[in-house]
Amino acid sequence: MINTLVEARAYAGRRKELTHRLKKTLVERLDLDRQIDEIPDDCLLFGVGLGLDSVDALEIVVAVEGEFGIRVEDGDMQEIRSVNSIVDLILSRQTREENV
Amino acid sequence: MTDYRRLRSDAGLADLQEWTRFDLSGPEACDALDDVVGCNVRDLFEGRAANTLIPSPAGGVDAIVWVIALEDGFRIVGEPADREAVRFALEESASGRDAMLRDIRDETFALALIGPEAEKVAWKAFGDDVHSIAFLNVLPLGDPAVLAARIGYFGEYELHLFGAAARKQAVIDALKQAGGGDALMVGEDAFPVMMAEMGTVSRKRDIPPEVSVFEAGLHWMIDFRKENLRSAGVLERRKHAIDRKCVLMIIDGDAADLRGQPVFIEDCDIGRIQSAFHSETLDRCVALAYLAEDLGMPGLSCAVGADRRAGRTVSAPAFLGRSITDNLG
Repeated sequence: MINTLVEARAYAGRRKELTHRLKKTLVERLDLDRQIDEIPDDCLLFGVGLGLDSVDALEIVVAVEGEFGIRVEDGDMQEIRSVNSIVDLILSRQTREENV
Repeated sequence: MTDYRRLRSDAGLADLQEWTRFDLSGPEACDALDDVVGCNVRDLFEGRAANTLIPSPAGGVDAIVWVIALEDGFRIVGEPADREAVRFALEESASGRDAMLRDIRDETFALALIGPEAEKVAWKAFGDDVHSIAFLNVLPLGDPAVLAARIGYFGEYELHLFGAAARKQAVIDALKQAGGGDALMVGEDAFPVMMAEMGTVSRKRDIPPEVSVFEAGLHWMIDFRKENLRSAGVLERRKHAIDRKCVLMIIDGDAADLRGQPVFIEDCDIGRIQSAFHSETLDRCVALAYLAEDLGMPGLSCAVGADRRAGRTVSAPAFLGRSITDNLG
């Protein structure tokens, strides 16, 4: 967890970059009819929100694994619900790998 | 069992009689509605629903609504507080057009059957057709006759039911008989915390007039390619002038008096709590806060209020409801 303002700003910079990359990946891979800045970070991906479906979910997994070099396991599927929740997943995996 | 627990773990039936309901019909109803709301109504086929908003002239939010496409026009549904804003915008747009606006609140009922067991209750009351109503779909059901819409606010299975006011009690009785008896009925007290847990904002409670669509995180409700987009110029400017972001927070302690409290990282004031409620599921306060744009994101530890209570920013929704997790297998 981030506790100091300096840590917070460093984290925010890293997170923003990741979020932008993820949105760009989603727009390109899913051929979304939206610009990156038209997708809120907390916007739900399925049903209401971006209105994606289960086929898109599989494409998202492939895209995230390819773009961010992480492995998305079956148990992670609950985290594929918004841009922010996917970024949480990517960050936690990257942190875990850094610690290893 | 509290209403909250019933809605999150079982099924509850809420009477939404006071909620906003308008019907817009006539040859130019689609044009009149499309000029007002953010979504592209021309893409909305009969039997489908869309969650959208009415942008304010300042690039904020005048109302958050569900638009339901019917055979002969559109039904516009929203929270009670947005009724006058919806009426004003639609009356203005319909005037001079071949479109008729009707406020149907008093001549119809609105009920919502909510919770992970709600589909089972609806099936017992209305039969197999219930299972064919996918999310964002609308279907007339017979005996007792209702218009059933899978729209929602709380991250659970929700079936919103509309019908003639004279038939309201028959529908309630049929649903009570199908599941839970009198205990099936719930009030609206649990709605705010359930909305907050999902990061669902209420226009009146959570969006001050100075906050833009983008700062509230609702720009997904807008089709920016629409040529007739209301307040398009202002929205374009405010897209590039985001000062704050609405963020979900989990905070230790009691929810009372948190509204308006400052949020700090070390001694730096980074924003304000907009609304806060006690979440039974999380056993913590769940809050919506407006934080400085550069720090408005999940994953930060913060201190809240004069007593510097521990809080953290999290991704929305704060958890998945049982209606969803049960279907994930």
